[in-house]
Amino acid sequence: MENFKNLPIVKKLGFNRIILVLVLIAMYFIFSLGSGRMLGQSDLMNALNMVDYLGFLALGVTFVIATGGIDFSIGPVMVCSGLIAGRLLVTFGWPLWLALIMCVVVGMIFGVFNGILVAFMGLPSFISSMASMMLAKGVGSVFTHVQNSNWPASGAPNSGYKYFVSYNGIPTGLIFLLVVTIICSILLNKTLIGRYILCIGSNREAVRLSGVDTRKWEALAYVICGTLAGIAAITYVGVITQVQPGLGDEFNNNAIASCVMGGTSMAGGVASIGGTFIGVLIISLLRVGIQAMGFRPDYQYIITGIIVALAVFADIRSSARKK
Amino acid sequence: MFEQSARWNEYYRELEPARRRELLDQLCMTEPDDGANDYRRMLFRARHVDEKQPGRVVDRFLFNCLNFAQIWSSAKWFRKYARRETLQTLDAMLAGRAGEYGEAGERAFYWEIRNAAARYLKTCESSGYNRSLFGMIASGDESRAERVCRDVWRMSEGLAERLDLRGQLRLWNRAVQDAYFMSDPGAQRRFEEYCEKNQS
Repeated sequence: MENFKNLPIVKKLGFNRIILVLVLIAMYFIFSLGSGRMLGQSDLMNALNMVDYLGFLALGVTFVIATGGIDFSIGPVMVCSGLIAGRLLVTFGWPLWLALIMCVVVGMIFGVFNGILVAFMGLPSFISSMASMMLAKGVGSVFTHVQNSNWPASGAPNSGYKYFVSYNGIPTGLIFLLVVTIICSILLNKTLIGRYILCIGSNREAVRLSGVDTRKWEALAYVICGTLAGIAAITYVGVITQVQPGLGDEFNNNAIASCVMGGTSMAGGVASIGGTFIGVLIISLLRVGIQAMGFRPDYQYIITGIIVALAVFADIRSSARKK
Repeated sequence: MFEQSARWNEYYRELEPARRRELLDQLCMTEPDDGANDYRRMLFRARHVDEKQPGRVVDRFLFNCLNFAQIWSSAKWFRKYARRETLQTLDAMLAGRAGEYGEAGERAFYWEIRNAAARYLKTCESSGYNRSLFGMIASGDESRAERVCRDVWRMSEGLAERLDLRGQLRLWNRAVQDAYFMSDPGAQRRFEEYCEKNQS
């Protein structure tokens, strides 16, 4: 095993990332065997539907975890954005483009709010994001009078938002996500913004003494996260169409599990955008695979819970080994 | 090669930029000039003075300790880019100009970096350093010591090895590692073990 780890190609790609890809491939065959048929195009398209919105959520939360914080509000913020924009579109007759912009703006506002609470007011991210999670659920419910927000169905007027997920069988959502993944990767690894975010996660006090405004850059991580939750809302409504108030918690776990599984350290300072993307693919395939094997969808919660626990354990073990 | 007078030692032991400025001005006037006083002033300016906001105190060399560790992490891909970034950072720290002032210049550069590294190591004692689980759990002393060792390795030996910049980072590495070895009695042994474990 040590010899394999020391191979130049393994060092370059990263041992953990190779293991993740192997896990992904193994899962495909295990689920195919378990369900008695090879998972086909429709299963994979089904998995991709989830990849779209979960991917944006996971990318966003990667920035926050890189600072050493956490954001438990991403799922409810995504649902809240979908609810508000949907009501503006359908009930108030806003044009589609404006409603979609509103999705992103709502996410961004929650990001700014979280950023102020954590970076400027010094609240622990764990607590403040719990607060904004409740706030997002409440705002969504109040704004829609606890009614579902029904976005126009395919073929109806104003249904163009569905092109963000699929267009004539082309998985545009995945292409969109890949483009944003590349942008996020460059932002985190090759720009000063990303460097500051990672350095804050690594040693906040040293960054502060260097003269860098840590509050500003930490807050920016939350704004990026909120904005990506808003973008996730566009693909979420593209898949779901009917958005229910009060939901969203389950997406937090999946997004955070994807990040940690992908190699982002819960201690901050280390983040892998590529790893997060592979983590999202694994979680999404897991959901489809469990359904294909004939289990009820609620089993997915059990398995995701076990995976989160294992990912956390592996993260702690691996940081202990690295030291 | 790196030995100097007790007064200059005092200057390089001081970690507060404002006090360092006072000492620098004093020592440049009272101590015999070894030919590197101009260079020392240039290093101070490059490290602590923000030309755009003169009242603001910065510490670019301290930031570069963190920066080099992060470059190490991101240098798996686009190594040329990381190499260029490292060399540009060394240039901004006036590393290339040390030679112009001979042995005294190299000594001044070494001690300036050693001072920055000592300040970095001081920040590692803060309660916010090396917290786990989204900042919720503080680490124990042993875990903290191991993490510091990893950071020092990444910003010195690891970076030089990964980017093949041993020559350019010679003084930097020596200064950072010496500062680390002086910070804790078990540091040198821990560092050597870490180097052995990470030899490619």
